[in-house]
Amino acid sequence: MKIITTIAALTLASTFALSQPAHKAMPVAQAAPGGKTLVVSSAHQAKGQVYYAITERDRQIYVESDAPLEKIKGQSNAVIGYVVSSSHNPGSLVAGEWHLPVNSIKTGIELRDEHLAGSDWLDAGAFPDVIVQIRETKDIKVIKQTASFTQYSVTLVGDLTLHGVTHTINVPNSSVSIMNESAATKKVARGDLMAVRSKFTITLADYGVSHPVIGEKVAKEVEMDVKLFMSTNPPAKQ
Amino acid sequence: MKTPLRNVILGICVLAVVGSVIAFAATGMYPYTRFRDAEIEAANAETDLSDLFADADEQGTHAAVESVNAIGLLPSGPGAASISVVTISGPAIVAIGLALWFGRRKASGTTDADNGSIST
Repeated sequence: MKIITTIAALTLASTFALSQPAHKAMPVAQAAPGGKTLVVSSAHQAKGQVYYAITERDRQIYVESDAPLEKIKGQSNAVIGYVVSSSHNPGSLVAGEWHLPVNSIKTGIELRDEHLAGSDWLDAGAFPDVIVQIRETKDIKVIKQTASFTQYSVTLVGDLTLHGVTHTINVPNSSVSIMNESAATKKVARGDLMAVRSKFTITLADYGVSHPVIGEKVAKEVEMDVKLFMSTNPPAKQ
Repeated sequence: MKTPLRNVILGICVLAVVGSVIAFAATGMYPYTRFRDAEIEAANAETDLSDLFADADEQGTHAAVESVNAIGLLPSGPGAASISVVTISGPAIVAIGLALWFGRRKASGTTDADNGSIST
């Protein structure tokens, strides 16, 4: 009887633990006037050096769905946002947020782009952005150092909100590369620069995206390849 | 149907089928018809930042969506996007079938008449 009671207690305890969110949801940053970046809270500004996403230039997001009947590729260069790099360790990202407007994802076929943003799929009307919020980086180590840049390998930890559903993500083997401003960098963008590269997989069902063609024409898991370029100068001064 | 007219229709339809298949093969054999997209092209052409960080690209090339004009196997929408192998070849194959069927019917009627039998 004692054993049964213990097992029941343990089961209840583990169920309770699983049902708790891993983290408290973070507030979502608002777009700054002009819409080219997000408003950085004073709490985040105090954590270190802010780098702002350089938007509408090089492509930033590449998405691929490799289903048995069809391979779909998408991309966007309309991501806005920022990350905060620790003043103690520049490779450590201590906060940040990126917004990918769903309507900006281009697959090369106009009608498909409309379907993707429609209510049957990502529902851009109700959930206009895919949001990534950085909580921290772990396993930080320098993997390359040259005269012009330092590259760190990190595990990105944050929250991904897609279709109104938020899950914590851990992305190992991500990289953060930092390049101080120089004559060469000034020709391209002003300020100290950062490149963040991260590849991860999204299971559509986890985010409440369901459709009869998932598994046939659209993969259950979609690959995301993020490559954000950032500058210490806000967009207005880039 | 008169034989010369039928042959012209047959020829056009065969050309349509062969032409659409050749266009499909020549433009990359995409499953859906697609057209060049100015936004995709602009983003793909902009590589200054990627070039600057080229030596830090340990994770390989950041892939891109192709911006091309291509006749696909299937249509991808209304208007020009409805042009595809299926939408061109489908009706053409039906027309070829009908033309051949009418031709065979006429030929068999002629043969039967030559044999002195009554035929429709």
